[in-house]
Amino acid sequence: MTNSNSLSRRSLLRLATMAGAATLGQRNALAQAPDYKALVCIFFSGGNDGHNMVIPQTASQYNLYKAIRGALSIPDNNAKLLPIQAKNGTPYAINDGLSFIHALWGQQKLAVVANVGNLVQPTTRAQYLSSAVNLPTNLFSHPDQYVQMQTATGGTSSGTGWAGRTVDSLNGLNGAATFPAAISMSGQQIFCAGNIVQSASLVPGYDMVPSGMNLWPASAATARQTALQQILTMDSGLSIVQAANKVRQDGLDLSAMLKGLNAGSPFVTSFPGTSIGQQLKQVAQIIKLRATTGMRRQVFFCSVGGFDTHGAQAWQQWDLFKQISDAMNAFYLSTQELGVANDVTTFTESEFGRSLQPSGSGSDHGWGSHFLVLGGAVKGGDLYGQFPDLSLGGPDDSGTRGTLLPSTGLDQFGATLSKWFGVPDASLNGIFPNLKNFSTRDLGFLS
Amino acid sequence: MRTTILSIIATLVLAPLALAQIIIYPGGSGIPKGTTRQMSAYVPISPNTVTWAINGTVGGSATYGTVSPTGNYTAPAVIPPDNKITIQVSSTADATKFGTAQISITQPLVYIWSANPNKVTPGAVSLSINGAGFVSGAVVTINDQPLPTAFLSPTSLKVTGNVPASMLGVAKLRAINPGPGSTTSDPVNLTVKSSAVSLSVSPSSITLPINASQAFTATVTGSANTAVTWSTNVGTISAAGLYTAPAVLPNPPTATVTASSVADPLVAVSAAVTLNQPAVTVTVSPPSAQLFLNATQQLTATVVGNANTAVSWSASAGTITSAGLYTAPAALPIPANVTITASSVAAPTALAKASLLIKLAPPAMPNLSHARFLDQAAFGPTSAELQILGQMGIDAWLTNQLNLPASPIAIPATNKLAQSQYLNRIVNAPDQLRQRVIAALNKIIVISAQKNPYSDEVVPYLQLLSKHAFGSYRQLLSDITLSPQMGKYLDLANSKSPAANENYPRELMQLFTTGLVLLNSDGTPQLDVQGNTIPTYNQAVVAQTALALTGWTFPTAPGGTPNVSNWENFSAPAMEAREQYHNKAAKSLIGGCPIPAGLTVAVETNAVLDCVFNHPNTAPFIVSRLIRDLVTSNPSPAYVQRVVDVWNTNGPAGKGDLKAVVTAILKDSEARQDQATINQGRLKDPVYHVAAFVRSLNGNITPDNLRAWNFVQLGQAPLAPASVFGAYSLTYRIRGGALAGPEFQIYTPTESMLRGNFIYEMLTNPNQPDLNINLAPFLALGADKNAVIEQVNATLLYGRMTQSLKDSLATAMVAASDNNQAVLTALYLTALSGYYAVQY
Repeated sequence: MTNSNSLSRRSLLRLATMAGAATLGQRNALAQAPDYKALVCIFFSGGNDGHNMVIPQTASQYNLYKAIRGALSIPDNNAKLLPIQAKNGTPYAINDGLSFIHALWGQQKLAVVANVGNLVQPTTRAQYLSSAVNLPTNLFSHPDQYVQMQTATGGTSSGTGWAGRTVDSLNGLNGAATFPAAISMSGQQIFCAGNIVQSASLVPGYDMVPSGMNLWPASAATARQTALQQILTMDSGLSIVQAANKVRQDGLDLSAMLKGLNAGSPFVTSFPGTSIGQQLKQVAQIIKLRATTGMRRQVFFCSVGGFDTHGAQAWQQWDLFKQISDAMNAFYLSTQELGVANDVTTFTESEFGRSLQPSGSGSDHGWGSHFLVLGGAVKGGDLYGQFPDLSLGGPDDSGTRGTLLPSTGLDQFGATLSKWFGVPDASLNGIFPNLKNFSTRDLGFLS
Repeated sequence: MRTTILSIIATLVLAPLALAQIIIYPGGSGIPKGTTRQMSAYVPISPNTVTWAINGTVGGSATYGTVSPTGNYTAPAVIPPDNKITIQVSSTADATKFGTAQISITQPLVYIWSANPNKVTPGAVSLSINGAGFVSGAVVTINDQPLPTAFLSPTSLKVTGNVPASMLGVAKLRAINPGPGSTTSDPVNLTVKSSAVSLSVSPSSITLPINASQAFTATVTGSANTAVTWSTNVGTISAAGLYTAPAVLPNPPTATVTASSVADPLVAVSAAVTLNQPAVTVTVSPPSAQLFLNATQQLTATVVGNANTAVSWSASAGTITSAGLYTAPAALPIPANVTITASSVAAPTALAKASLLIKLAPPAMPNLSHARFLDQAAFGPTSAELQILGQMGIDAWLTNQLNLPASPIAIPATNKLAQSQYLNRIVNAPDQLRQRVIAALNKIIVISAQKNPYSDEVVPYLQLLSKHAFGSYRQLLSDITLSPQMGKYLDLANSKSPAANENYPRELMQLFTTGLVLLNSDGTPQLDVQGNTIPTYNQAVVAQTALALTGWTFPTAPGGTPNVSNWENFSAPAMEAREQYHNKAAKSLIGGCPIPAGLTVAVETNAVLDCVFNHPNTAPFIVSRLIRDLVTSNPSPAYVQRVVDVWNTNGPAGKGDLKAVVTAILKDSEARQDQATINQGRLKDPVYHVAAFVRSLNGNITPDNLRAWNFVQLGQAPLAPASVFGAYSLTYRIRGGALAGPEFQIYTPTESMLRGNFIYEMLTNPNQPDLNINLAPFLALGADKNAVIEQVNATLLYGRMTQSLKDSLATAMVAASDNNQAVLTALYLTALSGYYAVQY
């Protein structure tokens, strides 16, 4: 830095520093949110077997299902069938592992979107088998499909996720608020990464308390904290140093906020002690803070592993459903308690479905699968998309074992959610690069 | 005033007219000169209006005082000679009706509050009288006998005199303001008691020059306790009676040295000291200084007033030569302030002193330029590497590193072990420059254990990065493209015509060579007339490139039979060609690069790589990424251009000679700019941050460490990023700004806390089996907080610590419970600061 221009540079930086010196809470308090919306993704990691999540109940399809599934068909020793009916009268059943949210179907808060998967464009069995159209790369591969389900860029690649890009496009609504806009409760996820927005991963129940700041004697702790505050607000005259200090300052503020979560009035709703229960509880706690954080649009990512059920599927999947539906129900009740039930939409994803034809006590990697959508804004009690024909080698089979060729693309599913979230239609193609290939841009499950 | 008028009216109503007589209140009395007094009159006449007169003059006069129409009397400032004053009130309704009052003017009223001491022995005494109203000339009496009195202020008198033995017991002290109308205070008591103790001081008087010292002795008789307490009003005196005159002549030039008997504190004797400016004066330069242990300081003495200018030197600690060269002691003296005395040889009482503060030796600051260079060319400096670089200089060090044999990279049993060994090499490998370049290339060309879970699916790729780190980027592309590891990771293996897999061709261009948008040769994007960026290629080019690269399959297992499409196999360094799956049509690739028809798999692959490698984008695209990882996130276009020129100049390894490119990046003036400019530097990525911290503290991460998990938490799983985009994009921008800050993508508030907490874990557990750091050099500095701060400054910030940061550290350290906690405080807070988070 030369003397001739150091003054103006330093002045500029000092302004930036002063702006950055206010604490998160102070800044955010200025940006009181007139409305709030959140999208909450529950990722069924490992490839959820949709065939045993939503079961057709028309006689022909159910018989087909039972014939192909054999010992893996339900009802079995654990899972019973809980009846649901689409608005057009078609009967289905859901795995009674989902018993905790079964009532929400009747209350029209829960919907099923059938046979969704990564697609570049609408694809028929004939087109797929002859490679006549562009396809997502590395179908049936966990790491590839896991990433593509989060980036919505099947067939190409991306360093950002569709949730990150969705909040990017609505960044203006979050104004000066600096609380992370896209938060994973399950490690860093590309789903949350945007070009603009702050993404973060939190460990549920862990308030990120900085080490070494509570020590004996209390005067030493205070002195250390005070010194750190001084250090983080020093004007170094160096942009990158200032930016690094700001991140740490935000971290300290975030930590203080998270610490306050547990101190505030507890939820009447009780959350299960499972991992997904605690992840969703943390989401609810952050939503509760929305007035303090000043955030108006937030996306959350939660995940549950264990769906790669090559064996012992019957018990394992039923047990995972129990955990998830218990937590989803508690989460929905908590959004009612917070008065945001209509502003929070929860949806499930999985990297792929599984083969209808079992292999031993499990099933193999598939493609299309069924996703759930839950919330006050959901036009629930109905099934969206097109339920597949279960015939092996049939029009909806990508091969010979009932690995479903998706009838609905992830881009359509995500775009429906993003549109409800507030993204203008014109911006959707940028977030979902393959959406332009589909004629239906809104699946209609949200109002 | 209002009450007076009201009382007059009330009297008017009640008093009968026949008894009309005017009475003045208050009546005759003394009024201190210069004061005022409100007079009232009782006037039982209607109307009750009156005139006030002093000695017959209505309104009074300056001589006898004035009175207002409402009776407010102001006494004269000077007492009139006769001091007889008549105040007369006359009725304006009836001139025959008047009243008079006689008053006199007095000196100010005088009070004594206390005398100090209030107990004395008969004989000479010195008393401080505290009171109020004293006038100049006021006299204190003891039992009505006047004592010599000095007026100090209206509240303070000084009495020095003799109290006769006849007054044993309690005597009365009074103060008198003498003169006409004199006033006398109420008395205070003075206890006069005799003592068996008697005391004398020697010398009883003396004349001393300034700065000089004089030993006084006291002789106590009449008590077994002969101890005395010494005191003085000017200069200093030790408990042993060594008096030191002040350095500056006071006014008046006198001092009193007093010895008080400990046995009977009432018994005190004083000696009078007359101070003077000696004919001979000595001054010392510098009068004060700070120096470190064992350091020397030249002092000079100037003698004025004598032809003999020689002085003799002495020091309270350390040594000083006859020529005034002072050498600090080897250990810190107590107190740390050393007094140096220079006294005139001709007139030994003429002397001068200097004060030197002795401090612990400061740690040597590293050569900033070298330390910064090792930030860029290595994973930060170690003390050993700094020493080597100091001896060799940058050029020779580079030459040496470029020619060091590569650290061997074995294929361990698991990827977990591969991660451990990778971390170990980064911290410990002697070929630091190669490791640093490997890490940079690892962010550009990615294979991840997330998809390639076995060690032979990842480590051979790392071996290729090591092999070509100082070689040809073009050759690296060849070897990577053909490697079965990449064949698996991005699906080039078993990509067959016509359904060619586009994964590898796409990333080959997007990430490994050209990038998505056309660049100028200085790395800035080209823009069309609308100001938009211009795509480097389109989907048709991807499809063509994919077809051009068809025909590769995994190696045939040793001893196995080659299949048209081999299963996954990693037993050979390169994949095998299957011409029957190769598309032999002519093609047009990126930028219109033509591929003729009929080429074999190997030849056409080579042609494809030439097309992408020779595209003008590749040099600025890769160069700017290397600069961002090695040096700074926001290189100037000119810097990129200079290195691109080197890339494009055929070196020994042809175009894209990484040895020449890396050398150019590191030796560029923008990299070597030790005074940081505003946007200089890059945020440290987690692996670098921790590795540099361990190296700077001369620590170690063992080859079998279990530390990969820490970096997973910090967002940079070694060798296992989430996608081909790596742990972060080298084009990521700092949120809300135009500045590039790739590493900020994985430095969110959460990771900043976790990174700080990992640092704290290391600091508080410095001797873990798989990760250790050496804090001994800091702990050894113990109580010297400034030395600790400077050691931290040298180690972590290379001497660039600002004074404000030092001040903050010092304040926090003072509050720490012990020295070790203070050391921890300084290291931890510095490591948490943005100054340490950034390589600048």
